[in-house]
Amino acid sequence: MRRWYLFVIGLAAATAAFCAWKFTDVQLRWVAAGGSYMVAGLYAWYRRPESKTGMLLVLTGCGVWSSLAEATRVPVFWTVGSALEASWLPPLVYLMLSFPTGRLTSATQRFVVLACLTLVAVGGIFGSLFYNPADFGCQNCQPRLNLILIHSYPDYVRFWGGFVLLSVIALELVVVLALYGRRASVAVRNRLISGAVATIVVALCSSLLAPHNTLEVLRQTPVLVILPVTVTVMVIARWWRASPPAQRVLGPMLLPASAFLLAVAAQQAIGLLLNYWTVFKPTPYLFQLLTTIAVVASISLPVTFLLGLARARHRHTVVSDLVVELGDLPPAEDLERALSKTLRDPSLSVGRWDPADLRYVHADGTTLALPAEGSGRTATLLERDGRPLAAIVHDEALLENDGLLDSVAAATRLVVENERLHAEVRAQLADVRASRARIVVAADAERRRLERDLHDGAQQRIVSVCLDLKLAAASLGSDAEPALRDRINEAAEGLQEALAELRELARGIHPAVLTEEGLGPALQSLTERARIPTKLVYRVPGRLRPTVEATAYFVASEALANVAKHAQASRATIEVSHEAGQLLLEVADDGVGGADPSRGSGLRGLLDRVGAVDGGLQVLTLPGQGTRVLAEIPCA
Amino acid sequence: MRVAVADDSPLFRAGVVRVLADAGFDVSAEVGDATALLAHVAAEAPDVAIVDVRMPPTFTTEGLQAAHQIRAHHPATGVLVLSAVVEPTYAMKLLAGGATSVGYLLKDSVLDLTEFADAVRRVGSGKTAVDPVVIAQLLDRQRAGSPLDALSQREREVLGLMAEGRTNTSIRDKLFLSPKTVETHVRNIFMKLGLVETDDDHRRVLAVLTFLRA
Repeated sequence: MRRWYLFVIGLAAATAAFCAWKFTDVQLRWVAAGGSYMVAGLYAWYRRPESKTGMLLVLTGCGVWSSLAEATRVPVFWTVGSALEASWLPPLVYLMLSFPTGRLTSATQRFVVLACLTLVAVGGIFGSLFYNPADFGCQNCQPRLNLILIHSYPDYVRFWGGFVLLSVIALELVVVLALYGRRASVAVRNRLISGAVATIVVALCSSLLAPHNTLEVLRQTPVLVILPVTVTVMVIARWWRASPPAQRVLGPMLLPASAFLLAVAAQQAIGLLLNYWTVFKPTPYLFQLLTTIAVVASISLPVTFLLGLARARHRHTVVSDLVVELGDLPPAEDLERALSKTLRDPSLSVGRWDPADLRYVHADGTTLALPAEGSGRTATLLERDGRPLAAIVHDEALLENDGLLDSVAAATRLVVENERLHAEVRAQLADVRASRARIVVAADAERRRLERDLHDGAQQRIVSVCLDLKLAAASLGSDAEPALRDRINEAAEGLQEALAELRELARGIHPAVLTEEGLGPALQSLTERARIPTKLVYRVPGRLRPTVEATAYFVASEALANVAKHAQASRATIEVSHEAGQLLLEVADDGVGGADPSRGSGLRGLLDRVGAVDGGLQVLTLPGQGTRVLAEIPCA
Repeated sequence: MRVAVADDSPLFRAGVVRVLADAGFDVSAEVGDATALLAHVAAEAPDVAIVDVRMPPTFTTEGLQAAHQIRAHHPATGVLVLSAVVEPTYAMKLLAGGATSVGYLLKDSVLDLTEFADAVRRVGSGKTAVDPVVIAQLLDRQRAGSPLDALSQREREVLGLMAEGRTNTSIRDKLFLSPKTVETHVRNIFMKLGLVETDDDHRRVLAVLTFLRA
C-alpha cells in the first residue's frame, strides 16, 4: 500500500513540475483542478483506505493532468496526453455513480461507465494511432510529435473513428443489457436491445449516405453532449431516490457535479453549433462563463466528496460501533447504556413491549411512560410487522439528525427482535424437552400397565381355564374314552405353552422386577437371560427415579441385544455406577466392533430415549476391538 | 394339613382351592388381600399360607411383604409365594431369611396337580420349594469358563433338583436312583463346584442358588 502512495506522489510531483511552466491561464486553472483532485484523493486514500473514493479521485486528477500534457509539445508527453485526453472521465463518472460505497448497482450505471472507458480506449488511444497533428493545422508542430502514429489517416480521425466508437458503445449496450439486465422484464430488454441495434444500423447507413460534417455531429453529440447530460440525470436521480441519511452523504456533491457536467455539455453543444450553424453567434462572455463554471465546479467537486465521505464516516462509525457493542445479546441495561452513549443523550431510556400487559417496560420491570407533547422529550417506537417491539424515549433534538436516529433504531430493533426470538426459541425448546420427557414417562407407565394387565388379566384367566381342563381330565372316570382324556390334556398343554409365551411377551414389554425391585435386580435378571455370558457390576445404592431406572434398563437391554445380534462377542459386561448426580452405564463387549449409531434403528432409538431424559449416549467402537456403549443419565 | 390361600383373583383362588381340596388339604381360609391373610395367620396359624405376589392395594409386592412378616412373626406357618413372573431375585429374597418352610412357585405350577400338592406339602413340613422353571433359567444361563461345565448331564439334573429344595430322598425317587448313587453325585457336585458340603438341606439350597446366581 505504501509503495502505491510513493508511486502516485512521485507521478503527481513529476507531472506537476512539468506542467508548472509554459501554460496559459486557462490551462493553469485545469492544473489547479487536477491538483485539487490529487490532494483530496490522497487525503481520502490515506484516511479511508478501505473506500474506493480516494483512489478514484487520484485517478481523476491524473487524468486531468495527463490531458494537459499535450500542451508541452514534448513528444513523449504529447503522445500520452493525446492518447489519454479523456481519461479523467471514467473514474469521475464511476465515482459520481457509486459514491460512497464504490459499487455500481444497475445495468445502466455499468453501461455508462463502460461507455466512458470505451471513449478513452477507442476514441483516445486507438484514434491516436491515426492522428497526425500536422494534418490538423498545427504549423509549428514537430514532425514526429505523435510517437504511436502508425498511419496518418485524417478521415478516420474526423469521421470513421466516430462511427467505430458509436458502434462499439452500442455493442456494449447490448452485452451489458444481456449480462446485467436480467431483472428487467423481457419486453423492456428486447426494446433496449433493438434500440441498440437500430443505433448501429443508423450509424452505418448515415456513414454511407450522409455528408461528412453530419457524421461528425453524429459522433460528437452522443459522446460529448449526451453522456454528461445522462450522467447528470443519473446523479440527481440517485440523490432523489436515496433515503434521508444517504441524501446527506450525496448532497454536497450534487450541485458541483451537475454544474460541471452540464457546463461541459453546454460547451460542447455550443462548439458544435458554432461549427455547423453559422447563424448562431453567442457572446464570448457565455463561453467564459461556462468555462468558469466548469473550472470552479471541478475544483470544488473533490472537496464535496470529502465532505460526503466524512458524513458517511460519522454515521457509519457511530452505528457500526453500536452494532459491535450490541453484538452479543447484551443484558437489557447494557442496551440502554449503549444507546444513550451513541446518541449522546444521558437521559435516554429504552422499554420493551410487554404484550401481556400492553405497556412498555424497563429492564427492571417498571413501566416506561411515553413523554407528553411539549416536554422536550419524544419517543421513537420500534415495530415489527405492525406489532410494537420497543420504545426509545429520548431528547427531541435528536429528531433533527434523523439519519442517525434511523440507523440506531434499526440496530436496536435488531437487538430487541433477536432477544425476543431467542426467548421464544428457548421457551419452545423447554416446552419440547418437557413434552418429550412427559411422553417417555407416559410411555413407561403405559408399558407397566400393559404388563400388569397381561399378568393379572389374560394370564390368570388362562391359568384358570387350564386348571379347569386338568381337573376335568382328572375327574373322568376310568371308563371314560382314553382319546377324550388325551385331547383334554393336549389342550391344557397348549395353553401352558401359551402361558410361557405370554410371560415372555409381558417381560419384554416391561419387566415386573424393574418396577418392584429396581434397576440392580432387573439387570441381574437380564444378564442371567442373556444369550452370551454377561457380567454385571452394579454399584448404585438404593432406588432411582422410575424414568431413570427404565431408561437405564432399556439402554442395557437394547445394547445387550445388539451385542448378541451383531458383535460376535464371547462375553459382555454391564457396569453401572453413580457419580455427581449422573448414572453412568456402560455395556462393553469383546466382539468385532464397528457399530454405527447412524445406521440401524436400535442405537438411534437409544440416543432418543436417553436424550429424552437430558442424558447423553456415546458409542465407542473400533473394528476388531469390541464396542462400548456409554450412557450418562441425570438422576439427581 | 391346613392351608390358607390369598389371591385377589377369585377365579384363580377358586381353582387353587379346588386343587388343594382334591389333593386332600384342609383349606382354612381363602382371602383377597394381605391384611386379611395376616389376620387369619395370626388367629388360626395354618400350616401353609399360599400368597400371590401382587395383591391390592398397590399390586406390586404386597404378597412378598406379607410372606416376610409371616416368616418373622409366625414361624410355625410355612409360606408359599405364587408369582406371575420368573424372577430368581424373589426366590433368593425369600430364602435369604433362612430356607425353612418356604417356597417360590410360578402360578402356572398349579396346573401340575401332583407336583403342586407335593410342593405345598414340602413347605408345610418345613422344607423348601423353588420352581423348576426358575432353576432352569439359572442353570441355562450362559457362562464363560464356569465349573458347571465340568458336571455330567446326570449331575446337572441332581443339581437342579437340589436347587428346587428337594432332599436326597426326593431326588432318589424322582430320578429312580439308589441312595448311594445320589450321595455320590451330590458329593461330586460340591467338589467340582468348590462348595463346602453340608448336611443341612436348607443351607444346601441357599448355597446352590447363590452359586448359580453369581
